[in-house]
Amino acid sequence: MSGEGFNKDISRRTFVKLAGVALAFPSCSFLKEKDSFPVTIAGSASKTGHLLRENKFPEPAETVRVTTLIVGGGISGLSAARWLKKNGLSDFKLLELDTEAGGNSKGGENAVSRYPFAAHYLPIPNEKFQELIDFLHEHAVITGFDQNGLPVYNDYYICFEPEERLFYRGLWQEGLPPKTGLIDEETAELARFMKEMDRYKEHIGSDKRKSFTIPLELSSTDPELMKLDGMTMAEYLERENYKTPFIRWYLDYCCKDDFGTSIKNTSAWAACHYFACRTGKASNADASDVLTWPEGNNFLAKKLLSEVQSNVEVQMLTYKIEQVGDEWHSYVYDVQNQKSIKYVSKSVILATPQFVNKKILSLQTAVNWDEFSYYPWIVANITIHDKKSLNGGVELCWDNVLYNSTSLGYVNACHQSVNVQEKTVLTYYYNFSERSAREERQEIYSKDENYWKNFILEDLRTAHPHIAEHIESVEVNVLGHGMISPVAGFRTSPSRAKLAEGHSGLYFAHSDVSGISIFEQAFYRGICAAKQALQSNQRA
Amino acid sequence: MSGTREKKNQLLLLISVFVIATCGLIYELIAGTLASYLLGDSVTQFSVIIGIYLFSMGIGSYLSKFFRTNLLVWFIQIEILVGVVGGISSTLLFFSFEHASGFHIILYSLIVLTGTLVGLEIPLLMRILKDEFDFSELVSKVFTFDYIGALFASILFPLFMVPYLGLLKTSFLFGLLNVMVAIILCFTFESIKYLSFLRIQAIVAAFLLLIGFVFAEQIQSYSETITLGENIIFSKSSPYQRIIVTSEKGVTKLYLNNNLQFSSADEYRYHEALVHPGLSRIKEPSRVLILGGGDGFAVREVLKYPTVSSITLVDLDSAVTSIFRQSDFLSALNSGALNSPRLKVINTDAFRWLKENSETYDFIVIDFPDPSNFSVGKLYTTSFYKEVRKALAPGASFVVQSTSPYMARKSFWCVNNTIAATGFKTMPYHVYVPSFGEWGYVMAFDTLAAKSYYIPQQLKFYDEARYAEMTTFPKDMAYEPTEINKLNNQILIHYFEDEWGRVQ
Repeated sequence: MSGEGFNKDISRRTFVKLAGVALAFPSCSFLKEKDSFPVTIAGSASKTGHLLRENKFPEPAETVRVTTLIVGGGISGLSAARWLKKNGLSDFKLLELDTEAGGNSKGGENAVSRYPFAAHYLPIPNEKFQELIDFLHEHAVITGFDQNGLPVYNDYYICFEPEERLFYRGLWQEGLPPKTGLIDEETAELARFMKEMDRYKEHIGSDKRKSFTIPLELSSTDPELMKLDGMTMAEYLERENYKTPFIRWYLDYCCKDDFGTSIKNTSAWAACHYFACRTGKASNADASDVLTWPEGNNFLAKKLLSEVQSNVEVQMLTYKIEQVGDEWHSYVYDVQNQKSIKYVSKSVILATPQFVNKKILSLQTAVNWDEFSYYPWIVANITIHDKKSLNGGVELCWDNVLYNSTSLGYVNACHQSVNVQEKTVLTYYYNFSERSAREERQEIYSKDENYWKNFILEDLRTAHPHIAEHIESVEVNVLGHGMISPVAGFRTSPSRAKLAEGHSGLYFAHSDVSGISIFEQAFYRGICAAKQALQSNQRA
Repeated sequence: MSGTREKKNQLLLLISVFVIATCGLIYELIAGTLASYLLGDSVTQFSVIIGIYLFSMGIGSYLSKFFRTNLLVWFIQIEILVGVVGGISSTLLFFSFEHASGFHIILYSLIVLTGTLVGLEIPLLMRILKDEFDFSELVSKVFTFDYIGALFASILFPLFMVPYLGLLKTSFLFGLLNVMVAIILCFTFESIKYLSFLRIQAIVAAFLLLIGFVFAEQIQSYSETITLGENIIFSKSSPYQRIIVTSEKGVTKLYLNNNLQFSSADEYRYHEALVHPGLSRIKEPSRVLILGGGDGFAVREVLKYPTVSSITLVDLDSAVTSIFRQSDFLSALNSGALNSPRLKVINTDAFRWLKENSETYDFIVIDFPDPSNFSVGKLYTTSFYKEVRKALAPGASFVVQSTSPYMARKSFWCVNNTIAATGFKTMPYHVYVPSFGEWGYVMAFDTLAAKSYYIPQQLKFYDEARYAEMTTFPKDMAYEPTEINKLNNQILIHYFEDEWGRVQ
């Protein structure tokens, strides 16, 4: 006992001494931790969503009647809502589970900049996708049309130069794929691949349709091309005899970035679509240009929302949908008021992903829900107080990618700012698809702030050894189901055809019906489902 | 046997005299050179430095009598100290000029310290050698080596050291030589006290000086103070750029990030050509906007028009506008233009300001730095010129400084073509500015008066006859088709890098 007391005493004395030393040198930088910036994990809607697992909700206290109910306020839900309104239906509600609508196009803001929580850009759209062109024109993203009828985009929204750089062989190289730094074999394989993709851009299938286009539903279903859907991109590369690690890495990066999974899972048709569908024409931009904003696609989500704001209710969790005669009954939990509401409607547009639909639909269906895979992501917004520290060889670009890193690099949120500024926000992306989606999900939900801090720092330090000194704060968004992945066979899946068809008054708008999680597809599916619902309402 | 060894040791000590004399004078020359670089007025600086240095040597000589025992140990110790202090002196001065307020205090303290230590050397050495030679022999030998060393240093320094090694490397090198003397001595005289202490000290000092020598260029590139090779009268790093004003032989120059912005000898040519061809063709101009041009020279030219009632100057860097307003020396150059009651100065980003601006102007002067990086490149894009259009009153025009059509022909015509692509008519022109070479401007308008309405009387260069001459381009600067500079291609940066990259 006394021995213990003695030890305690000593340690307290030592502590006091050490504290004295620390107090004596308050400004000694070596005593301070260099990476002592705050890290927060932003609350995503997953907690509310997980109430579905327990499935314990109060009995509905009231009944609300609307002509059409939209469940889900991502881009597809907002697009469906907009379409209903444009076509004269205002008696509808859109229910969103999160505190705001936007889905993968939500965004945040701090003192330095606005920034996205996920989707960052829209490629120059197919100029024949009239509904999308109209939407962009209505909101002044397109400012007019030139004498050839080509859209003129707002200059400030077209991604500025310098657009992309790759940290490769210890240096930042301009461009992605890089213009410099590749060896001859790598350049040759890349050129061969791009030539093949350029051929696909022009190619017309046996059904006289373009081989690859957006919306992807309008692409050719030529059996020769459909063979590509029967294999993964990794198998395609094998078959076509691509050898260099560079091209494998590059395509793996592209698949993860756009589809949320690696070449080992991605359908070769989807990967080719990514390269061959971008043929949009514009008066003042090329097909390879992209439209981007500090807050990413949140800019577009807000524009959609502005048209339907009065019909949108947030923090509403739909937990059961059933057909009763000609009507649809939707049971909704009002998270704020902790009560349930029953919505009765002629039609329902489900703009929710299929992993949710499988839980809330009381319906016999031929849909195989297991075909739909959604891998998790983290998206971290990193506030940097000295933007210049990120230059080196090539100036900080819009998109900055690290070769052979498993991350997807970072986007400079302030890139489209014309002002001179010292600070910036970087949006850092990481896709987890090495193991099964379920395993990856369990893993990432268990991690804390400190884990993510070290995780991100370790990755970025390969290109920026001193980045920790320049970070002001980090906000991590954990996305358990990041996006739908177009795995091999997705294009020819009967389940998708079934969903696209709908079910007498029940229609599916989510982009996972198409199989590719991009703004254009969500926008398109929303319109398709809205058209179906309007027709069905008339019949009823 | 022991006789030859003693002879050897004597010779070694005499060679030490030669080396330390060389080093001593070099430190003095470095201090004098740095002081005149950084503080200007070389005659005064050199005289004062030499005086203080010699006086400090006197202090050292006086103090030498207090060293009574272990003279060789003290001598070696002093060698190490001189080597370290002298070796790092230029680096220390160089940094304290930028970062410390009491530069003079640091400068003179270093000179006193070095001088005192050097002053100790010869008396101590003479006492060490006093038993080896008779007095007349000793005095003769020591001072002979001392003065030969001095001659050697004074010739070596300007002819070889400054041009080939630079000041930082020179001082590290001679510091190293001083410490080498110490090392050789403490490895030769093995019987002295504190031997291992001295050895370790000397080796550590030598190692540190060697590192300094190797990395001297990195240290120097940390700032460009010395590389300009002119007398710097002002230097400051603002959040946006490094500002240096130099003055030599009555000519003042401004450098931003090491790029020459003007020379007071011929800036009138540049600024008269910038302002008058355009402004003189505006009928009774009243409101003028200047973007960039924080040095106030363009304002000075605009103020020569009596009808101009208000000038708005938008410049990013308040550090530039405030020294050109507050310093008597610099505001004399722009005739106090920045203090004019007709002027309003706004320190902000020009692009942002223009986007938010709703006022219109009769004439706009755009005088930005050359498009050498993407941030500045944005200010030369179609998007920027579209914003400029919104700020133009009916019948107004604007002018853009557009780099050299001779050195960077494509860049120049790219600026012209970009402005034209935004829907303006353009009138490109050029002028010869001796300190820059051929320099180019692009005037942009919807309609342009054929003749001037009013040209101020007191101009030194521009008159109506010059206009025809300036708007004619000889073959080696003639029109070239180029791509249009937009935010999403920034092609001008690439042209500019290519063309100036070849020159520099």
